[in-house]
Amino acid sequence: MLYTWSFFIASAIFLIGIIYRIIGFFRLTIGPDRAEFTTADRIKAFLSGLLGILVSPVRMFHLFKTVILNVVLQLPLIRQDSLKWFMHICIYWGFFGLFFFHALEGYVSEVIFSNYMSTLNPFMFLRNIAGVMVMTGVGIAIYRRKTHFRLKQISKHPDYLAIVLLALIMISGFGLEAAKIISSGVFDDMVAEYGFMDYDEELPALKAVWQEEFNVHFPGETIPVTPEIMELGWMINEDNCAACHSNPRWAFVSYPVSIAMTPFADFFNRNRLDLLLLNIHFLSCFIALAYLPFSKFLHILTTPISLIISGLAGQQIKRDENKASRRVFDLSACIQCGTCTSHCAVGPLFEIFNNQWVFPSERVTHIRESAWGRPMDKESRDAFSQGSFICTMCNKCSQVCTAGMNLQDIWKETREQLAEEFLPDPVIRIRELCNKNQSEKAGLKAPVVLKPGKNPVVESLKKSLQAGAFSQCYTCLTCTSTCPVVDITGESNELGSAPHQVIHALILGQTDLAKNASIVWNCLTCYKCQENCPQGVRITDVFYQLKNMVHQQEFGI
Amino acid sequence: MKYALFSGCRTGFDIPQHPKSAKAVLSRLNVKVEELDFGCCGYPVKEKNLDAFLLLAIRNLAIAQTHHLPVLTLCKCCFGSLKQAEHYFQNDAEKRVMINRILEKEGLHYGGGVRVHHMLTLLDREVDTGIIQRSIVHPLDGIKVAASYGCHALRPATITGFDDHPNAPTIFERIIRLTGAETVNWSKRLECCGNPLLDKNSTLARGFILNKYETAKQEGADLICTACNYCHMQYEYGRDIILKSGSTTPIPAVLLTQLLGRAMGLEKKLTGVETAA
Repeated sequence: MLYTWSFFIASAIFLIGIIYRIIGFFRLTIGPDRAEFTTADRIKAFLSGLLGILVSPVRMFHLFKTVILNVVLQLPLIRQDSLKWFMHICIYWGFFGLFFFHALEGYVSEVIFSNYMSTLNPFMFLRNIAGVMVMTGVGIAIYRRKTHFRLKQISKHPDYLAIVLLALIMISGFGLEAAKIISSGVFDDMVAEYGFMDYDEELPALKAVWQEEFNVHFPGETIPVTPEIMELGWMINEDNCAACHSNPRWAFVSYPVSIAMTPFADFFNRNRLDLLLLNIHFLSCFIALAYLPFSKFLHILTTPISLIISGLAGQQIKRDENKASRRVFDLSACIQCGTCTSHCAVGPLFEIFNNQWVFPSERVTHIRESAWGRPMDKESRDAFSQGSFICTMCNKCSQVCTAGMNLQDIWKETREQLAEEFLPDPVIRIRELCNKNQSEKAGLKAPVVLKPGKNPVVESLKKSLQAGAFSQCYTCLTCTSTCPVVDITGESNELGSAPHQVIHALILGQTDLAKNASIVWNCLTCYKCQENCPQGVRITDVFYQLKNMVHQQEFGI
Repeated sequence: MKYALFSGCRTGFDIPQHPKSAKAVLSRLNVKVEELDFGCCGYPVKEKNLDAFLLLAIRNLAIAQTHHLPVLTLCKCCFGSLKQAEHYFQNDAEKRVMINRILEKEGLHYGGGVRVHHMLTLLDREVDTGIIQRSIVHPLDGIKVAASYGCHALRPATITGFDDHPNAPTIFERIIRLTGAETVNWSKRLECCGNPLLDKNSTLARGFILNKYETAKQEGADLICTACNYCHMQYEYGRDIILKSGSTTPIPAVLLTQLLGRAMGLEKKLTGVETAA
């Protein structure tokens, strides 16, 4: 009853979730919504692309090759990190082995193998092998997340929840098998169902064999054991049981577990705790099934498709409709494995900016969540923008992505969207801010006021290695006459448009004037001024320092 | 001699032909390269935070140091960044400690002193001129090339040490002439390409690159040669503008490694330019 109901509820949630996802893949947009394509357009484009593969033998061959090499064998992963490949292959093959041949035994194993019995070898043995594979993989996964310097920084509750749920299914499975091994109840049920024997003489002999050799515990019963009884017992076992039940020692994990359970065997068997474990086992499976469309487990369905797309079409696909759908789809194929983040060209900057959105894997999570209806508050969105614009678009993340995502395209679109939200690159923001300040000043014709005493900003500049020598400037204007920006704009009279004015302003302690000077923000950083300065003033480096100061003023770092 | 090839971020998506052609050319010259898991050189974050710039640059030098390899950059901004970072690292004890403390978290340490080369300095100082000359099987006779130097490798000259004469460098022309091509005495060869202002002041960025195209053509160049990722991208940007305006056809801008590759008779799939007939 519990089994049927929970199965139907879990399946219903699973199906609704999957339909919700599929509709979303064709409906949602990443980046600015230009309302270019309708959902119908995108479905049509997808189907025509799919048809294009199915009708072409060459593409079908490539499809087949991609499925074998990239999906089943995961060769790109082995080239990248063999431990990670081993971990994933253990979970992946172990899980699929259990899923098809154990969970779906009625539809797969029994159809393929005419003599299939879950208690028979090699099936019993292989089930344990698969379980061990998954557990090994889960163990390596936890080890990696706990020890890898970068993975530790990005692993979150959902990552561990997925690992824990998988571990729960496996542990309850082994526990259930072990509980069945020691269970007198299961023994009695099976004798009633399959046994044809004399209950007075032969049954105790069978019990003796199963107690002594197969670790069954009969609470409150004392079973006489003599060599003759054992011999009879083995004979009865051969006639009644062996055809469908191999020696449980072949369950090489569950059997030792059952021995470990021996001290509690009486308690277990009196209360039929094997049934409790059975409930835990299938309920945890059903929870995972229901949770699948809403968690990283979804990658079981999405990542193979994404790997096939990238294997067939490469990083760039042709049609814009399909690009829009792929962006949404790719985000669901992400497994938060952290490979992109560990290889990210600017990932180390997390240590300086303390901004988690520097990490590509974190940005993917946020972009996915906000696309599926969980947008951020303004402050976090601002931090997200800062992180997004630290990215140098080097494409390394897409090249190493184990799920075959085209991240480059996602970054491009999100940046465009951020610019539309008035959250462009921080450098552009501070540049615009300073330009605004300058025009206000010019409009008001505010008098320049010299203040007595030392200006702390100027003092800090003097101490820095890069900018220290500016007070030696004697305003010879060599910098301004070599400056290519002054050359092309033709402006050197307006306050702040020539490099020497900035240096002079600093000498006078007018740091705001210097920070807002247009030449600082139009500087090409070509270092011509600095190279030619007869006094060794590091003009370009001073400009860099001023820009850094404004950045710190505005963004706290 | 073996070098750690530092291709630079922009080659990952925008100009993949740069490392591809560089590797093909270097293998012709028997120069071995290894590609390490380098990060960003730091140049793009220099305007935001100098510590961030130093961390990224020094991290790359630390990676090269653990492999006991000198660094070979293809991009002049990368080259300048690594050189400057090394300079600050050597001269600022406080920063040295700060950077190493962060690097230690990922098991790295930098002791200073990793040598940094640009493709041009490598060809000029490390590779025997005779080897380069012998590898040129299809000399580019009669082609006039304008060399676009790129600022961040040239200056500050005392730090980058790119050419002995920072105000009148000849290193780029010397290498180009090895291919058999002529070089043009281009007035704007040392000027900035305008790329640093691309997203910030596009009017200026446009002005600079169009000016470069115009003057190079006026001074009789058949093509412009670049040896920097950012410069090259800027030339591609300028080329698109000129093509869109429809007034003239811009002269092509090719990478140094493409030019060399063509003169060496390398295939198009390696260099991205037509194979010499």
